[in-house]
Amino acid sequence: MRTSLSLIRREFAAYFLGPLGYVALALFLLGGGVLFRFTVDLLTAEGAKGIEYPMQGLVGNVGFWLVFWVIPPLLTMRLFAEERATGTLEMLLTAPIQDSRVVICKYLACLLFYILLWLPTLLFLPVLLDLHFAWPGWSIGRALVAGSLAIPVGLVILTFSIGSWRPIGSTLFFAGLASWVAGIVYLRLVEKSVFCPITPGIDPMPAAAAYVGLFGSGAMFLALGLWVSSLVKNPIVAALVALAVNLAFILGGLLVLGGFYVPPADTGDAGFRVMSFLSVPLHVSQDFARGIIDTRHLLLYGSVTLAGLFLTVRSLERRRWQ
Amino acid sequence: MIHVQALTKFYGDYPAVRDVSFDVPKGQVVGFLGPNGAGKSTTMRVLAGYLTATSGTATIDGFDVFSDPVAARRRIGYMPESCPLYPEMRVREFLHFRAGLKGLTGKERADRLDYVIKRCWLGDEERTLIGNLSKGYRQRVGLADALVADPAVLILDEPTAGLDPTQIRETRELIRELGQQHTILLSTHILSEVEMTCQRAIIINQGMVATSGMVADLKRDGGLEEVFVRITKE
Repeated sequence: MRTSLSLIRREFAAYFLGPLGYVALALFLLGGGVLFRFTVDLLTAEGAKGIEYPMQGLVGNVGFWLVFWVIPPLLTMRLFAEERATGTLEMLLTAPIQDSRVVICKYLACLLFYILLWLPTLLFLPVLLDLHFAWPGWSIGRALVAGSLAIPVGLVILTFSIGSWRPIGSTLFFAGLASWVAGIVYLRLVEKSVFCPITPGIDPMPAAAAYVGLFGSGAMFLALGLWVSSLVKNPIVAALVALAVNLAFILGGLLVLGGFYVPPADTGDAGFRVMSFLSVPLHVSQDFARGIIDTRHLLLYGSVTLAGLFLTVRSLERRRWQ
Repeated sequence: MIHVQALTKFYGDYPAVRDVSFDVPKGQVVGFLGPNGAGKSTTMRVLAGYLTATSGTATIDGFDVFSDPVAARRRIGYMPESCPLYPEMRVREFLHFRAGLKGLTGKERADRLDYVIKRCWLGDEERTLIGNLSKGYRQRVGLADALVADPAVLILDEPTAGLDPTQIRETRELIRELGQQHTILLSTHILSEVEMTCQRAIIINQGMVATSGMVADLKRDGGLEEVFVRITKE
């Protein structure tokens, strides 16, 4: 457990030690910001324009998928390829840790960074979902729940510090956790209330479903990228190959969303059925963003993710035998 | 402590190591000698668990490196040739990570870090980026990494390659001192180094063990250099 945490911590922190993490964050925030603006325009448009579901504007757009196509390969390209190029893989694979754990730790680290990438977009939601906050004023329970802010602060310290700050970081983390649990219990049982009642202007569940789809598909793209990265020696090559592999799951949707290809009126058409089975942009814009959680899509993401991780472990083992 | 039996490793059709057998008893410092391409690094990589042998067995402290790799690796401190490190990390940060990876936690981890940093003369460079270190310092970081979990066996692949004479002397001194607590297998092609630091030498040529014996005995047979040249010319 400690071994795994050490490796996850290093891999996660590595995104911030080089330019790559910042490039991915900046690119993603820029794209997200532009799309947010675009969505707000659509939501407030008069006449025949406009969209049904706010998340469709954000993630059902060709521009979004062009950005989203590039992001996962950026996050995974270094993971194994660079270690092979510089020889540090030898140090890693001779440490007392199984290959499968190395793969899972590296995967979790990039998945965590991917989640971090999406966190700022939560700030769009109050506008997109027309949320109304009815802040009832401070109480003991609410103060305790607010104490959970110490959790992220503690985590940041634990991620980046190796010296005397570490005890402070872990204290903050556990104190925040305890304060949060105590606050929730106190609010429920004693004050019989919630932290802050929120009334959404529209149904918020389609947005939640969109995040489910984006998490699942992102997890799939990252697993594929990790596998590609374990096959080649050069991070740039790893990124390019991963882009090509991901295209299988993106191209069809890009063409449809971009208006380059009009799906046949007959939905039973074999070609179109294959395309809609594989095409993540279509899944997200037509199902998830409209609040439909289709388990066929999740099953596809889950199985490709597992296959990708399995192949990565095999590819590491293979190089011991060469 | 290290037991190697009929170890063979093919790279495709090329036999890098052929039927190598040797034993290193506890507490001995053994020099692994041979010309370039003799199979020294390959043998060490098999022992460290980086490569899998084509046939034969190797055990570290009774744990088979193939069937029980994690237990075997827990007992090894391995320093690869040319000592690859993460250039974007700082010295102490890197050692902290490696100590965690090797299962050390809390106070023990901090104490071992302080110990290896002092032991490998890294005190002034704790906060330097590894990418900015000179070759000699990087080598010391690699050695500190091998030592950090206090393993029973140290496997050092050319620990003095690329160092200046002062650093070579310091490293030899350190290895000699470490030999009192650890079993050490070190490879080199500098003969005088073996004479100065090792109790026993194993000479390997074209993937096979050519001769092995106590350094003192080999010295009597006309000197290590004489033996080495005779073997490699054959």
